[in-house]
Amino acid sequence: MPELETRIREWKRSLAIALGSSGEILEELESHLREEIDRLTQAGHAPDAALTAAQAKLGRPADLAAEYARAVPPARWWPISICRTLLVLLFVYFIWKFVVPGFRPGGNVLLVLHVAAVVAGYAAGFYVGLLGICYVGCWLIHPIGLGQRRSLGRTLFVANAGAALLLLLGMGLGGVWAHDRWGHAWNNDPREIGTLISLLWFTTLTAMLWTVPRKQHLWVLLSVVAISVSVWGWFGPSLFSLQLHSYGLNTTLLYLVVVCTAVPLMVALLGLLPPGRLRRQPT
Amino acid sequence: MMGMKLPKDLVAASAVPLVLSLLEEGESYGYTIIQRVRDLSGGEIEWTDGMLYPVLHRLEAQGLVRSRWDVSEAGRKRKYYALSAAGKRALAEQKEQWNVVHTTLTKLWGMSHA
Repeated sequence: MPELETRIREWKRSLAIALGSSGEILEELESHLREEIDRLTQAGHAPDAALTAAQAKLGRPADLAAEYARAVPPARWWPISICRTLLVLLFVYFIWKFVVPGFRPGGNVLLVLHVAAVVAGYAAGFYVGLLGICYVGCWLIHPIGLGQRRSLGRTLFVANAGAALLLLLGMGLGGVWAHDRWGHAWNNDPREIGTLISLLWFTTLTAMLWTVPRKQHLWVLLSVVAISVSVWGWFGPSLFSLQLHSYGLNTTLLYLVVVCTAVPLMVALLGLLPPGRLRRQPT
Repeated sequence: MMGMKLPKDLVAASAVPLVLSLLEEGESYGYTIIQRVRDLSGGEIEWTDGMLYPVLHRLEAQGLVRSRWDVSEAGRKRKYYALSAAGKRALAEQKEQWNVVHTTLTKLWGMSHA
C-alpha cells in the first residue's frame, strides 16, 4: 500500500508544520492513526477510506495544534535569551557612544531621542529576525517543542509590537524636530518612507501573531524577512537618497544591504522545506 | 438518554477525572483510553480522538501521569501512560469534588443514591 503510506507521510508533514514538532507527539498520533486504520480495514473498509475516516476522527492539524497549545505551558528557548542579551549590549553601546553626547550642552535632545527611538525600533526588528533564523535552523534539524514555540510566539509578539511602537515614537519625535526646524514634519524622504514601511511591516506581523496565532510558522518566516525590511528601511535609502538622510554611502554599506537582504530571504525560503530536512534519517 | 450528546464544556471538564480514573485501573495508551470511555459511557461521551493527547501531555507535564514507549505485539510503537503518586492524590481530590457536585444535584433533584 505505497499510496496509503504516501498519504500518511503527507498527513504527518502537515501535522509537523502545524505542531512545530517532529518528536514524540507526532509518533504517538501516527500510532493512533494506524491503530484506527487497522480497526476500520478489519471491519471491511477500503484502506483509503479508512485513512480518511481516521484522519477525520483525529481532527484537523490546526485544531490539534490549538488543543496542544492550550495544554502545554511555555518553555525556555535559549536563543531568546542569547539574542536579547546581544542586542541589549549593542544598544547600550550605541546609546553610550552616540546618544549620551547629545545631552551635553549644545546637543539637540529631541533629535537625539528621535535617533535613539528609531535605532531601538530597528534593533527590535533585528531581534525578531534573528529569532526567526534560529527557529528555521532548528526547523531543518530538529523542530523546537510546543512549549518553546509558545515562548517564541509571545516573544515575537512583544518584539514586533515594541519595534512598531518605537519606530512610531521615533517618527513622531523626528517629525516634531523637523517641524520646529523647517516648518514641516514630513519630507517624503526615502528614509522616512523606509521607516514607515518597516513600521507597517511590524504592525502587520503583530496583528497576525495576535489574531491568527495558529499560523505561527508563517509569521516566523516573515519575521526573518523583517531583517531585510529593516536593513532597507534603515540603510537602503543611503544608496540612492539625495536628501536629508543621504549620509554614509560606501561599499561596505552596499555589501551589508545586499547580504542582509539576500540571506534572510534565503533562510525564509528554507523554512518552507519539510521539518527535519537536514537531519540524518534513520534507515 | 438515548442519543444524548454531552455539551463540549462538560466533556472537557470531565476529561481529567476520566483519564485519571481509567489509569487507576492500570497502565494504558491513548487509543484504548478513548475506546474505554466510549464503551463505558455507552457512546454518549464522544471525544474527538485528538482531544485526549493534549490532555495526557498536560497531565504528564504536571507530573500526574508518567509515560514509557513500548512495542505492541503487532510491532507498533505505543506510548503507555500510568498514574503517578501525585496523580493518585489528584484523583482522590477529583473524586471528592465530583462527589460533592453529584450529591448536591442528587439532593436537588430529589433522587436517592443508587
